Amino acid sequence: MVERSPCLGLCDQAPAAMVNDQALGSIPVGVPAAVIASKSLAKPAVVGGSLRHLTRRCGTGTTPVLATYVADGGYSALTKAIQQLTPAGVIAELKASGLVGRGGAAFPTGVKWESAANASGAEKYIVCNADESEPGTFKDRILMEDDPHAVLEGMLLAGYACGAQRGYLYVRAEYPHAQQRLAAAIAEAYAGGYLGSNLLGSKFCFEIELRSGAGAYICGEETALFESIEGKRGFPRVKPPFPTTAGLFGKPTVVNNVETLCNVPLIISAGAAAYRQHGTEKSPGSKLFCLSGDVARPGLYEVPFGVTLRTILDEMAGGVSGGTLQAVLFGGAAGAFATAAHLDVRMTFEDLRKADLPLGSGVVMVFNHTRNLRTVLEGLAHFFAEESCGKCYPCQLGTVRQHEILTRVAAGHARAGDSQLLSDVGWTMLDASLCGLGQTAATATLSAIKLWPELFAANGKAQPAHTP
Amino acid sequence: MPPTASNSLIHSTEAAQPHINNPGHSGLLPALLKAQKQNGYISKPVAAEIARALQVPLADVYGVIEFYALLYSKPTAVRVIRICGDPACSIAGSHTALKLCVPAWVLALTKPLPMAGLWWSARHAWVCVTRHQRRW
Repeated sequence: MVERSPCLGLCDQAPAAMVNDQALGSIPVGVPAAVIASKSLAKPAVVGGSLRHLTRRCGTGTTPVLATYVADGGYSALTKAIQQLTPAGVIAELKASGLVGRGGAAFPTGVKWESAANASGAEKYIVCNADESEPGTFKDRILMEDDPHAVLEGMLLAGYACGAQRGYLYVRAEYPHAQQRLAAAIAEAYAGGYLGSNLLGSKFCFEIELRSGAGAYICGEETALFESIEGKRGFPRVKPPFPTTAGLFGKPTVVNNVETLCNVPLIISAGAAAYRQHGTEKSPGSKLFCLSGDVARPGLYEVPFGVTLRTILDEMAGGVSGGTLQAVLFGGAAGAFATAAHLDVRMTFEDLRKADLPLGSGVVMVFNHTRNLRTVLEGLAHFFAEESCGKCYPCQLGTVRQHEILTRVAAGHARAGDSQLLSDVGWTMLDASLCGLGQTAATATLSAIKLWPELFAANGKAQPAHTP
Repeated sequence: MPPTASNSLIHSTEAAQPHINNPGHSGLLPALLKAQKQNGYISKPVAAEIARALQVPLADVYGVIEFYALLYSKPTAVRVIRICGDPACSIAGSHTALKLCVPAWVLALTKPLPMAGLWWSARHAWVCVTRHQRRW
């Protein structure tokens, strides 16, 4: 049985497939499916970059067991926090570090933790959002597969700082390998005394439960994720109330992305000042970028904030393959397009905001000059139409309308006024949708309309591939 | 062979993570995933059993099964191939791979057929045909 699947998080080894629970990379194209199933197991990802803090244990092809992790300085941040710092001290260190969320919204992590810590009620939760479904993103998968204990340590520190006793680690169903390795790490941590009651001789108790998703992009939205853990359909909730006051099971909840949580042990063990030595004043630390598409060396690259797109693309990933640069899809399906004119934009929150580009989850998907961007846009629209949960009308209707229009544009049957229609649908979704899915479902299309209005012209069929 | 519905489904979900106790609604998704892992899909008796054991309305159980793309209420093939159709894989050729993929029932017939498993394979092929018709 063959199905089309949304992004499997193996973009560095495209084209990818899964046979039951087995991930395949670089599958042979042009052969019957029966042959695909017996070939090309996914390889360990290429991990590189100029700063290897978060990814220092990644890309080796092995997963560190508890003893290896501890010998390498693992759980020292937790030990330091419990023995030397108060929960408020941990939050103060985090605020001083300037860490902001890496899931896309870039909210200051210290502020989030503080408001959950100050929320009333004894029962609180930590949720690790590992439902990494953004097309083009695979950073969290690599962190979870190659350094699972770092994720657990981040959650433990969040639990200690916010006064929570329980954590949920919600991993998407398309990542069975990450789930297996996390489950093994959790079992090791319980056996080693890093999870459970009275940790490291203190009164701090913390449990972590591993949860699997079941194939829904919307569950990466924090409130939809809560609904999913609660055993319901993954519909996003209306905010406010925000999760820090009423989140999972209606209790104060901190929800953080995997990459964000992996930063926390680094900050606590080295101190905020050392963390701030990398990156820029407003964007401290390092960032993971997932390079895929037409690049010579697709993979995961860790760089300090402030390097340019050109540095990442040309110096680290080996430049554009198969032609010249036409476009970069920046930030994933929910992101925007960039062109060669954006190559010297510095990768910081402030510079990207000025350039109208979302950092999102760190996706850099490259298209060379031979690629048909209309087909790419149609693919993105198909993704959103498929993944919209249908709770609110702007997104339920808008994603389908957008897909219809882009399908005819891609087929070369664009009508006069399609560009205007797409803008109307796009801006309506952006302004009126309930959650982030609908609000970003048209950003790539809107950026394409701005950059290449001729793509949507009524006589567009004469042009099989767009040339810059 | 019809899947056997029993409490063991839910108990075994908990056995995987001994420190976890998920009564009620919150245990629904893990229970459904566990049941599907054992049987390939969630049959009507299994869904009813899960609803009863977790004290969740049966309508809610089906509401959840329908919502999630990877939960199946109808039989699936023993081997499910999921080919990524998103941009990076698409430009690398996955769309060609998807178009070329032979129908599911052909796949089922290409499986090795030991004599003892002949009946099962025939049933499997039939299941794939019905599923194929449903999805295309």
